[in-house]
Amino acid sequence: MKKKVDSWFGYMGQVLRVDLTHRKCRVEPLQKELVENFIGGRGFGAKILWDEIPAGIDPLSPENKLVISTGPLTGTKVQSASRWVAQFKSPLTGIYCRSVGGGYFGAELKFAGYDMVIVEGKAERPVYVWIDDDKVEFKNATKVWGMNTLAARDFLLEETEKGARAIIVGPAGENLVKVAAIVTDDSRTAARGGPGAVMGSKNLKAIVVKGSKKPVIYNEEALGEAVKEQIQAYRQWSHFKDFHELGTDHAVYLWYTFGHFPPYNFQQRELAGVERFRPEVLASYVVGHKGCYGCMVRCGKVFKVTKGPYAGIAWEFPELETHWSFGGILGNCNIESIIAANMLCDLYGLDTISTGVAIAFATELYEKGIIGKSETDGLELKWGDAEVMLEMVKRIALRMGNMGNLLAEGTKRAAEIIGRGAEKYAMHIKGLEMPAYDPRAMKGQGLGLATGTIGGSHAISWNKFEILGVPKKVDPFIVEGKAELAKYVQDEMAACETAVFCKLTVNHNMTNPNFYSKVLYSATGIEEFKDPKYLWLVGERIWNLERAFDVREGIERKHDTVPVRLLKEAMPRAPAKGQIFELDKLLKDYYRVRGWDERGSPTKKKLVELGLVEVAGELEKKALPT
Amino acid sequence: MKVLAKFVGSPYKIVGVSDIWLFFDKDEITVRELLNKLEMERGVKFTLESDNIVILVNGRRIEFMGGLDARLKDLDEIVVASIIGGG
Repeated sequence: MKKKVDSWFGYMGQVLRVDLTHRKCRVEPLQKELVENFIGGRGFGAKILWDEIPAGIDPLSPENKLVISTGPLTGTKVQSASRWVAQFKSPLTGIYCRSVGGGYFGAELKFAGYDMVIVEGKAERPVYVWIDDDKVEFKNATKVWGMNTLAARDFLLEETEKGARAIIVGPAGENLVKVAAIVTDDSRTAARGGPGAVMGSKNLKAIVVKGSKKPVIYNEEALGEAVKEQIQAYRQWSHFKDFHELGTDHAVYLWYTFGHFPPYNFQQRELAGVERFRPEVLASYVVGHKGCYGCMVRCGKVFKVTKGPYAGIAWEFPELETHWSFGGILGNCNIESIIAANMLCDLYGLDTISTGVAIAFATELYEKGIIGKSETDGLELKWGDAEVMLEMVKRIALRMGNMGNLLAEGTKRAAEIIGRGAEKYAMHIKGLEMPAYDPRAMKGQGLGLATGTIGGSHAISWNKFEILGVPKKVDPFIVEGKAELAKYVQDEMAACETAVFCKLTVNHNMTNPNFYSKVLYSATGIEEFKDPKYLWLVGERIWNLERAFDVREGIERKHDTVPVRLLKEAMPRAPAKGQIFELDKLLKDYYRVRGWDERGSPTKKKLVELGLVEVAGELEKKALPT
Repeated sequence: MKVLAKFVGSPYKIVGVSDIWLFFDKDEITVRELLNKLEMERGVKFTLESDNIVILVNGRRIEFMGGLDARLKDLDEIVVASIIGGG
């Protein structure tokens, strides 16, 4: 295979296009225009999906594409910037999706010489792709098909190279479970929206990569100096020690105190036993620290279980969200069982958030008598029953029985199939199961969830003003001014995920466009990237392009909402007792601030202002206002 | 009156206990009075100036309740915690 290398700094200058249908791959030069307008990572994927995926295709058909991208800082010495992004049309939501993974895969892909891999078509039989620098092979995956991610990893690295890195799907992805994740060789996941099912639908078990190159840096001295300052800032960061000690688990108990971590499928009854989620209790399980390439925070923790029915497990590790999705939302305070559920999800290849929320949905239906044992295959779904919870994880991954198969479709679709008013208890936004935040307790955060371009995701819209009080403290109950804040955090994250920076550092304001512009220019030498204002513009451009993709798929005002119980039922516990989520007012402000029309479509004026002229032209077919 | 004080994260390590009941000879006190009592009786000082500490009364940040002048009543709960983000 011949390749063409342009003189790029920061970038490798090449895109690998993998055609599974014809078992062919092609190296394409990285386009200058794509780089200048979208920088990298999430920006690249958003543009490729817009250009190459026609509206209305079946996400599990060969027409869907899976874009795996890195950014200009991936694999460099810049801290916390080596993550990778999976983008695709989601089989769970039917709209645009971006899911970010960590570990070492992203850096290794770059070292092999590629900024991005575009996977298209469908293999006739199970395959995996082995990328060894310039050599790319399609290899038979029949033997590993059906293996869990850990077993498959060991087999694949034995067959290729021990030091290689991989992204893999487990049985859930193979079974086209709509909440299936992609799992890395080091158990990190890109989980939201069902990327594992997209790989499964293409008969693609894994991508294994080994590289020997390094990105060339435009100004090594300037970048080195900036990174030195970054490391110094990390060391002085008041949260650094806590974050290293326990990662996001430091926040679990606090989230409950804030009114989040909503127990019992958002019924928000007080959670007896919540003290088990205190940091000092969770810290007692930690026996090791892990991290991603080029990140001194090493926020990943290895949890060990030494007693009870799950003794013997050592796994990295239920994060805040998973403590909720297999804990709080299910009324379960048995930490050991949450660790076990996390491990099962990683092995089967499941999104822990969506899986837990789906089980909570079924549990509430059972509690209310909407479904019975005949529909749960004899299982009694009860709050806080760890054994039933773990059994349901398995049944979802393997599509076992009526309920396992039903929840494998995701909460929204399961509710539609069940009927009988089940939708009222389905806690999703645009089909994506909600994370551990209650919009009634933080209005800006709720607005961010309601307007998310991938559905109900905290990862792309995290209101640090309300939650952490940075860059400034803002009252979470106030409605006024929240549209501006939602736009701020959405655009900022979109910009920073072009690098690809870790969201946790952005959330804590350790990374922002000011810092990013400095290291980005040093790494790439591209003049436009010097200006933080330009990075904000790119962030807004990406968000609008993602929204345009969704609008083209039929998304409009009525989809920018939250589950009805959050609009109608007053919050029953402190601190937000009596609060509801004021959607209409918040949304009206948001559309105004975004420059969108009353249906939630970006206006032609806004799109042209963002340099998305061709997007405006295409949306005009859908009666775009001027 | 009595108030339940909880210490989460680094404040827990500073104080050495996860929670304590604090008793007062009044029907209502301010957060400032409670913090002063903690300083006198336990030798620990918490302020609003620290950027990694949050002080909550019944789950609400005191900055939105009058700051150190926020009022506490019988059986209220105050939480002093490290403020760390999730994700």
